[in-house]
Amino acid sequence: MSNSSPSLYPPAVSHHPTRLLPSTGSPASLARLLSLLLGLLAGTASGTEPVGSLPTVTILVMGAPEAQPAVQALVEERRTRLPVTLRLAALPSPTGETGNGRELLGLERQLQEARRHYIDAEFASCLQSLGHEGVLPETLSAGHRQLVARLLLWRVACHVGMGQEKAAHAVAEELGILGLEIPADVGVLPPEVGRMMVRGAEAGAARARTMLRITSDFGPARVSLDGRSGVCLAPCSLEAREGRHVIRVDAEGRQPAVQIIAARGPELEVAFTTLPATPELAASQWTAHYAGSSAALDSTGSLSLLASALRAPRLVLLNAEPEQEGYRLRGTFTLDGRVAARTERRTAPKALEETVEGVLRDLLIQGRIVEPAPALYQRRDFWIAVGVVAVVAGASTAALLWKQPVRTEVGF
Amino acid sequence: MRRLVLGALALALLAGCHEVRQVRLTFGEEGEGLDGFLCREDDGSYLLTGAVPPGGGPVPASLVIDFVRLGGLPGCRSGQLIRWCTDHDCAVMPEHRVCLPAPLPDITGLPRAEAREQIREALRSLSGATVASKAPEEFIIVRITATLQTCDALAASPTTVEPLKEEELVGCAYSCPALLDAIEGDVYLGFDTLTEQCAQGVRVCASGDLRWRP
Repeated sequence: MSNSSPSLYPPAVSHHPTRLLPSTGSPASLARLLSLLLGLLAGTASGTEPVGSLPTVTILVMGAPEAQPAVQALVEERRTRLPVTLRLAALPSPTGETGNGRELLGLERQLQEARRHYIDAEFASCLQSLGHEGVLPETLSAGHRQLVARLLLWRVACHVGMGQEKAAHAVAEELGILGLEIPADVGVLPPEVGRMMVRGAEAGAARARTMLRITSDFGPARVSLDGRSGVCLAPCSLEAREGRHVIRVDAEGRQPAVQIIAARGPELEVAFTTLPATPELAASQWTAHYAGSSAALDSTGSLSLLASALRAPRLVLLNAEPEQEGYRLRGTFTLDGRVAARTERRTAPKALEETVEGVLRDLLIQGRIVEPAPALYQRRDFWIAVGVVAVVAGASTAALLWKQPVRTEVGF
Repeated sequence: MRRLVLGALALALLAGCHEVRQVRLTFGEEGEGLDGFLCREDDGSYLLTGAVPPGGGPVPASLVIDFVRLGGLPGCRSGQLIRWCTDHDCAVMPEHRVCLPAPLPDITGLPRAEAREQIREALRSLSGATVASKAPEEFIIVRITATLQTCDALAASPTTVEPLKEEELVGCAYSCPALLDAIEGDVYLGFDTLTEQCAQGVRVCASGDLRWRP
């Protein structure tokens, strides 16, 4: 069988004829050559497959550690006869809280700076220390409601210090609109600041309600309102007080989308358009949602995120579960982020490598990456063998049955 | 491919080859099949005696060997053969007629046993002579007729078989019906008679169609 070698479906790459050597040394030719080299370099860097090469299949092995060497042997020693290039990948590792943690520390530093200016009666500098207008929505969309409440409090304090009663009231009103609690910092501030906070918050809380109709181009998407996460799954409706709000949607495999809206009137349509997640974001989403649960590893969402995180348009997830007498191999093939094939086989430890190749073959055939081996009767070798056997059988029969012609001489 | 061609060639060569078998004609270990050469005329003299040259010496005879087509497989006794040939096309095959000069001894006055021995000795000279290089592939009887006619005279007409002259006949012997390609062992030639007065039997034996002659 051939076992003969299975052929490939045409690879999904374009075949543009490319001239590799310029005919003259003119500047235009040099520019073309340079652009060609840059193109090739970019193609390599982005992991695209060279034109005419075998398709690359990324393999991710999970479960029993003994399965790793079998797959490694297949990949590194090129023992497989599958017409693909195999690449072994590792699961995305959890990333540390780097960016978010730094942001929080920066905000805390701003608050302390504002407080110092307030004590020194430098109220303009106090306001300036609390940052620009965009800080509030950013912090809210990140879910730090208490921090936003403190920012608002110190803004109110700075305005009151400057004698800007109206501005202070407007800021304090936002506390009520956003449904934030008055922070404990109010205890270290003069009573008139506390009174302003209470009046403003009450006024904000008393505002009329607007029904927000939230939709998203990619579902299911978790909706966060003013830093309260998971309030509903889009498409959904929410009530909010009239005023400025921050809405964020989060979907697996997509980048988060944030909108700052001004709620007014009885109803407001809010539509979100999301962008595909970067591999890094997909990795962090996978780590957050699936890394802790082995049961959901081969779920559609997990595989889609893994394919994106590993930059693997063709991804095979192999899960080797130890059993009493061997392993149960579960394979899932994901093509362009969608599950294209699943298969399962049991194997003895000795036949692990062979079974891994069998599982891969099944998946790639089901996923139409590899053509199945033709049926026996469709193989040329088979008919040659049949012909040879027929000739041999015919010759043997003839030899057995054949009687040599007899010529009889008669004499004395 | 070369092996296939060689194999086919070998097969063709094998198919073209023939197995050559030798069938020997015999009158028996003791010459017991020579009764047809020892027949006497009504006057009691041997048929051969009348053919002895005036000066004495061997009789200048010729042995005519014929294959007689029977068109089937009759019994071996003379009666059975003659009856078979009354309603079957029994005929000499002209292409197979062979004539061999075979001087026969003068057996005048010799006792039958001694005469038989002398004839047997005379015919021993035929040992090794080939009668047919390819036997007919059908049931026939082999017949040997001793005649005074010369082989040259008999060979005048190779496509047709002239009946042998009855007055020139001096002996006859014949085999049982046989398929020579399939026969195992020698072909025994003899003459079916219970009496020495068998000149008439020789004439019947020598006739072209094995017809009974009263």
